[in-house]
Amino acid sequence: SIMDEDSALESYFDDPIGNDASGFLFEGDLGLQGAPQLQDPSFLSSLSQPEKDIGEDLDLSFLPDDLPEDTCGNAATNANMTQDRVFDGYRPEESAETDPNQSAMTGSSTFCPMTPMTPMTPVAESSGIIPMLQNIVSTVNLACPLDLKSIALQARNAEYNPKRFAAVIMRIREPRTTALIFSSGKMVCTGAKSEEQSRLAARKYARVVQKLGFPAKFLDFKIQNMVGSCDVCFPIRLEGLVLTHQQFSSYEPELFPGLIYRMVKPRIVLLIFVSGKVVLTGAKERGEIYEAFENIYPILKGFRKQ
Amino acid sequence: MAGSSSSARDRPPTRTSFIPEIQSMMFALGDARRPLHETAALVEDIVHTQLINLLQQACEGAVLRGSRVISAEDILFLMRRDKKKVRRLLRYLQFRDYKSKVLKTIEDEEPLEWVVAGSNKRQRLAGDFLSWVDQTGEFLSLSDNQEVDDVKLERLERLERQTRGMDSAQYSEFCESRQLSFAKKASKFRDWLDCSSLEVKPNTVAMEILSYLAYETTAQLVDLSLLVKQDMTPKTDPFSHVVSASFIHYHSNIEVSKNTHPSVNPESPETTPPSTPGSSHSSKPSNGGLGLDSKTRQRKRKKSSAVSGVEPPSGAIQPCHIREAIRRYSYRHTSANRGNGMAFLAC
Repeated sequence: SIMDEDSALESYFDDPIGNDASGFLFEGDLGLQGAPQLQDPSFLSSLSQPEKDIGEDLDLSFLPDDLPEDTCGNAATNANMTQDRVFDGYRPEESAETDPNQSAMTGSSTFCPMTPMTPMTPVAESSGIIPMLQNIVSTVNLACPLDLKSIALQARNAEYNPKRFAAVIMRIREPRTTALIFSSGKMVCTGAKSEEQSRLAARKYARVVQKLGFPAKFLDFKIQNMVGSCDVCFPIRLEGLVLTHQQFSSYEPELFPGLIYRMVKPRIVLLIFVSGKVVLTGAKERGEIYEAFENIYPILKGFRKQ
Repeated sequence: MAGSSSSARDRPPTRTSFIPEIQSMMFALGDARRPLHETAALVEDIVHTQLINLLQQACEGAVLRGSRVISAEDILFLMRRDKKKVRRLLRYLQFRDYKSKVLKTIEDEEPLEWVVAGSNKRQRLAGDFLSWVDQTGEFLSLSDNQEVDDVKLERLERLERQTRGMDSAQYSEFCESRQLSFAKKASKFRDWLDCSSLEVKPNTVAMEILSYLAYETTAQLVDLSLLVKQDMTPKTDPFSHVVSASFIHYHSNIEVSKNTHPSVNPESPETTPPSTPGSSHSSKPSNGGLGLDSKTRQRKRKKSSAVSGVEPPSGAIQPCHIREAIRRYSYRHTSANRGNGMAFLAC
């Protein structure tokens, strides 16, 4: 059950470094599988502790993702929610059948990126373009007070200017992200390119904090914002769009070259440029980005500059 | 030119000039593809004079309330009589804040920035002041007011029409012109404005508002001048005098299309050629002394074509249009007449 996993993971984080002598359990799997693997207690004890750069070669890749609170029904969808640049422009309908990565669902030994599948019913005439995720912002509660000065002094990739900002800024290279760590124990993680990478990165930071001697936990991990972008590959006449969609659009090229479109359903903000580039932000789930783009695409086609 | 304290000739040549930028802005606001240098020089003069007068009054206000800087409040105070313009400014400030907020969620280089409070600072600043002066509650409702800004709408319609006929290359040039603003060249703007004689200086937000007002003034001048130009062209069509402002400049083009190459889109600002072949708008900046000649030439051309019954081309906005626009505006706004005789366009 989820409760067991949570407390197991919590206690996992409570374990001091020295107890992890068991070595690796799996060979590189991120543990995206469904519930069965996660309930395996031996799963949880796998963590290698290289004594190198803090945050650098922290091997958390065997650390399972605990299931999100919103039901195991989403486990399959979550497993699919990995994005890889290779799949940019890939049609989700087409790839579903020939997806060689389906095996990841059943526990293959390699971490394979899955073709993103929209949770919504695919529209009959979709654009054929999939926005690519560019930035994920997440938060997590380490649930213990932190001495920021001590963290900044001990950790290699950390900066702390209390006069400028009341948080430690820490960075790791893989996944390439930045964390803001507050003395309350709350943490923000930015820069990841997928939900999973954001979570993985957050875990690494949590592990760093733990290594530095704090009883850090990993509570209430939540994706706060997702940014995606794509290119419709034709120039767009923004003057037409802003006039016909006045109630949603603002276009002041003296201030900013893009048109800002506030979509109501889903609640997403789009930046639309003359060049055809589109940036989408404000999503809590990647499906919102896909849906927003599918909504705007036919509208943009109507204002295609010949 | 009522109230004009300096003319383009009196200004020392080394002084910063926004003429090329203004030419670009005028094109982006609805003028012809190559606005006249002369016209832009006049616009620069007017905008500069108006801003300096505004600043002087704002300075007095700031000193009166014991402030060490000219801030948004002082400028808003001067604008208080025209609710529509205040509302437009508020929406501009809101957009500025909103744009910053949105951009911060996109960039992850400095995650620091977006958690810092004050993301709505401009809007809050304006809101605070307005609630202080608000006696009837009319200002407080302005920021929520969803009423359509009809002037803004006309401009949007005009631009939509203007861009419809453009090809990709023309359109991308147009977009670049639209991006030019006084706000983009903040330090040049500051120099150009020359606040050295003021007792107290404007702060950052006040400068932002001033660059907005400079742009608004330019836009208003173009709006009004297009109307004047429309009035001045002889009418062959009984409905042309009731044409909406967004149609101006392009409505008359439709008649011109008979004289132009059939493949050219009649609504494109490109097709504002003079009716006599071979002549041009002569809008090159090196115009200097030739400016007068081209203006006379255009006037003559207008007269002759009126006689011949052919609809004259719209052409670029002339200084005479600007002057007439100012005259009419000042006439209508004498009650709001402060400073040395010229009504503020942006207030």
